Amino acid sequence: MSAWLVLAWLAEPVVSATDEPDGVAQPEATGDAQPDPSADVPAAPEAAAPVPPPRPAPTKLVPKPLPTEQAIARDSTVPPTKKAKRSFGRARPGTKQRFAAEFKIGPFLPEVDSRYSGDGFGPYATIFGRTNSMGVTTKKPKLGVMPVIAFEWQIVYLGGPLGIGTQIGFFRDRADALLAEPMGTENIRSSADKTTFGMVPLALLAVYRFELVADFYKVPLVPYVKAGLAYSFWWIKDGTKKVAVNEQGEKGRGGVVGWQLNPGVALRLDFIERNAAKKLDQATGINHTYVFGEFQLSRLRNFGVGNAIDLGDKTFLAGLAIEF
Amino acid sequence: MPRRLSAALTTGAAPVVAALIVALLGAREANAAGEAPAGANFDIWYYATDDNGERDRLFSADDLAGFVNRARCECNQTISTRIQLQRAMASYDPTIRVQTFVGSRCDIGQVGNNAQVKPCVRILSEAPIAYTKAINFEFSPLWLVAGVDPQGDKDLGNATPTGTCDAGQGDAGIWICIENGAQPDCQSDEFQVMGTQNENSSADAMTAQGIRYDFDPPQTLPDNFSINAGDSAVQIEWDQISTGDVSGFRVLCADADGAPLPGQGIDAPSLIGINRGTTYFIARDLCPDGPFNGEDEPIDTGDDSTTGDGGSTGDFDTSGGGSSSGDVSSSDDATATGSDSGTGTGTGTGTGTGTGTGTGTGTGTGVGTTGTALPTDGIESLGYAYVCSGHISGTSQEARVSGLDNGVEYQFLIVAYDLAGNPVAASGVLTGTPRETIDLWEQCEIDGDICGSGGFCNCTSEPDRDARGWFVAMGLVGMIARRRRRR
Repeated sequence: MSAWLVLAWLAEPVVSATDEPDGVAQPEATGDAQPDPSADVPAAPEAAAPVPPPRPAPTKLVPKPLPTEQAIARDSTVPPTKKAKRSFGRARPGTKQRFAAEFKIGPFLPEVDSRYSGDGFGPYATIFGRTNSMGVTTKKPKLGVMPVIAFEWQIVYLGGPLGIGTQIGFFRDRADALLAEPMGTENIRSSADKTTFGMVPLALLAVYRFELVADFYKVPLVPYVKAGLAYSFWWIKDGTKKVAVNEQGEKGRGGVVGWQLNPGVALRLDFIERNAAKKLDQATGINHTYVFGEFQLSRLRNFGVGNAIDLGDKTFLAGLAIEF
Repeated sequence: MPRRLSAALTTGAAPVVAALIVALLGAREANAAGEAPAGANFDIWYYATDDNGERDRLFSADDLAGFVNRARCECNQTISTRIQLQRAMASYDPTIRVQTFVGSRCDIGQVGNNAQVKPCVRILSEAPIAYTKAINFEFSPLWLVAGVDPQGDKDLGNATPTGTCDAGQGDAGIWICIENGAQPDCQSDEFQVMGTQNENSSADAMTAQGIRYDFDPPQTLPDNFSINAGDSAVQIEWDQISTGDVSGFRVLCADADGAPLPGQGIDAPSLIGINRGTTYFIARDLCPDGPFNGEDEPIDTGDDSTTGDGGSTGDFDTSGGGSSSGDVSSSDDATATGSDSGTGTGTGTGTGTGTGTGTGTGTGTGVGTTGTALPTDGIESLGYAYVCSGHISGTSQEARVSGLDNGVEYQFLIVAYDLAGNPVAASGVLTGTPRETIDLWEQCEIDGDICGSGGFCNCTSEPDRDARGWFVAMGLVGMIARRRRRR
């Protein structure tokens, strides 16, 4: 009988005092209750008298040793990952970062008149400049607005991503055309004819963003610089909304090549809510979001070759960017 | 005789059997009299006709809404109609008269005691059996708006219309009266087809509609017209109207003498084309040889008076008060008034005498009917030869006319029209002179070719020092990047 009791005690589940305040395992009333392990023990022939339940023995949780890497590799179906190359000693946090996209906007005014050396205003200011009530130009043109979108491929991390990028913008200006032979005191402009100048600047740029400090020291500023080749389509339309033609029969449209430089500083917005930024990264792959401002110096006059229109400018742009 | 019947007759049931026989015979006679048709049993189709009055195509829902206009009425472009009564299981009562009319509010006009509503012209008065075969006939659009003299003949062919093609708008169609015999002739409560019933609109219209007729040109018109000179072009602007039934505008152009410009003008719209409110119709160009089948249609007579109000000047401002610049000016003496020399509206008698004096001073201050007859020549005739623009939306406020010669004076006139295509001169005659203008490209040339040459590639010359330095710098950056990647 004592052997049966020992077996029953061994088969008794270990129950902590917190689980059973009385220290006695009570059978569950519901049908889903697990059967009492002791029920599997055959009743002793002398079990007519009630036997007091054995008191649970005090248990002691012994921490198991962690499996070795070899053991995990042996049992796992997932191939072990290679150790990422650590640049500057530590791996960058977050998911892999490969691209960046930007939308920016800023004032713009092409330097069409830069080559003009005559009296008064150059041709661009004469047409698009600010005028008096007679339509005569009195001041330089107001700055227009140029929206730009940009995209870049981040190729290598050298204290920050180094890559190549491209961008495309749009600019347009519009004004009443001048009357060829105004008479007397009449307004010198025709309200029936609007002349339009438009351009679409493109650029292929090398881009470097110094993100080391922002990545590892939580300073949310990322200085960067872009430099590269630029090309801009341009066109001039006359009052009929067709491409203008001059006296020589030459159409007023074309393209001009040059270079541009965009140094700037971006404010990484992750610091506002770091947990949200991490979740955004895990959910969408967007590593960082920025607001930024940059200076843009563009020289678009065919590198000085031949007789080309000058569409460069020095301006500031501001916008939003994401890295993903 | 069946045995049971003979037995019944020999017994005391003889009176009952006799009563049954009498009842059966009575029922048989009633069945022989037939039943009265219902309005819903009539199928009605409308068709457009060509200049010979031949049926061409079935009216669409668009036609019902905007086909009938004043020009078609003046040209007597008839509407072909087919009516058919569906056959019933039992025969129709041959003693019933079914009368067919064309017009609007025929039930009220039939009573004959309403001075405003005249009786409709009667097309047919026959027994129902005649309607079971398709009945085809044509009627002038004039009958949609005009009734007949209550004291005169009502039948088509002999009736005299009380209205003209000059004015009026509303819905009309075929009316069918099925007499119940209680009183002689049709009574207003006996009309069971009331103008809106047809098979043309049932397929694609949620609600039944009759034929919409509109002989009135737009009454509410834009004002403050101004004209500005451009390079080989002029731009005409006006103040937008907030209300009215203007569907669109077209610009008419003429030289300083009022002659059409060569290369301009459009063909007269098709007689049988679907009108979507993008053009206008004038009888002189729609039927240059006069009304179609005018001699065969009695309704063509008696409306000489349509030309009589030449003094009407319309309720639009023809003074051309818009600002003008330079030598472009809107003519303050624009007339655009109706004159008394109208060509008549299908009367076949040429010019009507009328009562108006037709002096037309052109101040444009008149009200009421806008120019019932157009001048026969000049830009104010609104002839298609003067049209120099496409359809301009009714909500537009400007129009541009290109292809003109700089320094040459031209006449312009804006025509407004409604969905049915009834035109009216919205502006007076404006004059303008296109002038050469200078755009940026030309200004660059004037200032010494500041904008350089056009074209997309200027890479034939040798790069200058600045460019060479730039390329060297870019090459160095590329080499450094390559070496870094090799590591």
